[in-house]
Amino acid sequence: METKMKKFGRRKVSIPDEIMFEIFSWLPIKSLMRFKCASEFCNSLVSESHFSDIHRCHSMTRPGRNFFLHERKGFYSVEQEKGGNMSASLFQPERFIESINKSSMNCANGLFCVWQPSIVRSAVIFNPGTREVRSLPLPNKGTSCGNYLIGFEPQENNYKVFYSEKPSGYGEQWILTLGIDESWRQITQSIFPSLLYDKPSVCTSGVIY
Amino acid sequence: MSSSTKFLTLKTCDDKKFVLDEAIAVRSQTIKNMVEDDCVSNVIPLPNVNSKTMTKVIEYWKKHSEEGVSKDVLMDFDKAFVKVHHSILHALILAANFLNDKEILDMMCQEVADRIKGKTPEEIRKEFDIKNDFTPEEEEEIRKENAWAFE
Repeated sequence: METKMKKFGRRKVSIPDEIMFEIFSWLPIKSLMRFKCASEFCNSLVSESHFSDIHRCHSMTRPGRNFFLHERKGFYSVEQEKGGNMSASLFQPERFIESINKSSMNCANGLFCVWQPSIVRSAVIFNPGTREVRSLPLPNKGTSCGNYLIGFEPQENNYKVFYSEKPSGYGEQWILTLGIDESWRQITQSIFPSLLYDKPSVCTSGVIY
Repeated sequence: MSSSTKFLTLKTCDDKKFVLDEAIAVRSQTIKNMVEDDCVSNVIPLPNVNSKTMTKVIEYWKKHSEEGVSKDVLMDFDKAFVKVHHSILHALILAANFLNDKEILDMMCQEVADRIKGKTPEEIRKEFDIKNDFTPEEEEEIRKENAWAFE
């Protein structure tokens, strides 16, 4: 180690930022989350949305990737191991999110929207890769039997969460764009009256609003 | 591109010259742009690349330009190609970046990522000569938020 460092020190080749970006974009998420505390630069690099896009793209082509399967009982986390074998386990966000047990959830493009039905508490957005949890603001005065639906909008590259006050789909409907809206916006025209009721965990990669 | 073979001469920073088939040299987007813009005189200077590194790059270019090479052979070649000393790996990355060869750059960056993925933040700072500009409190905060990554 000592001699290696010496050599590298003597060469004093500093790696340009754009190459750090490239190298980091090939790292597993666990390493990335660890390297965040190396410096301000590393931290902000990993948090950049352009970086996550490239990283997601690279992860698709590598072994060890993880994806989710939806089944009647819930979501299964499926992991592809190096030899090409698959292993699956039931995905339980309760293990990572303190405030929630017996959750309802749905997901879009890697992010989960998790909430606890029949309890007046805000829903959370959960990223199983980075294990980050973010609470959403409460939609309105706080009704308890509503349904959430998260969707991904590829063209604008953002996530939207749709909230319907009543499971039937009638009643007030609200929408929130993650990272943009600070609070919920009410939708005046009723849409998809039956969508949430019939298929509470529909995953759309297109437009849901 | 013309069908007759044209040759380019590349000159590295340590004044070594490499004569190379133009069709192979244009794997470098940087060289390709120069050729297309017609600003190529007899010799193309590569001020950021030394001869040792260039030899490796050309070895890669030639192998990947051979006709009728099977995918398996290329995969084995690539596997062996990245098994180099740390310092050569870094030099190859910088060269690939300058030559704008995305294929080599991606492969080398993946190799570095594989080599560093198990390291600690302290080792990463050493590895890339990164200065820790966090206060101890800030660092502790980020560590806490991502405690699972240190397990």
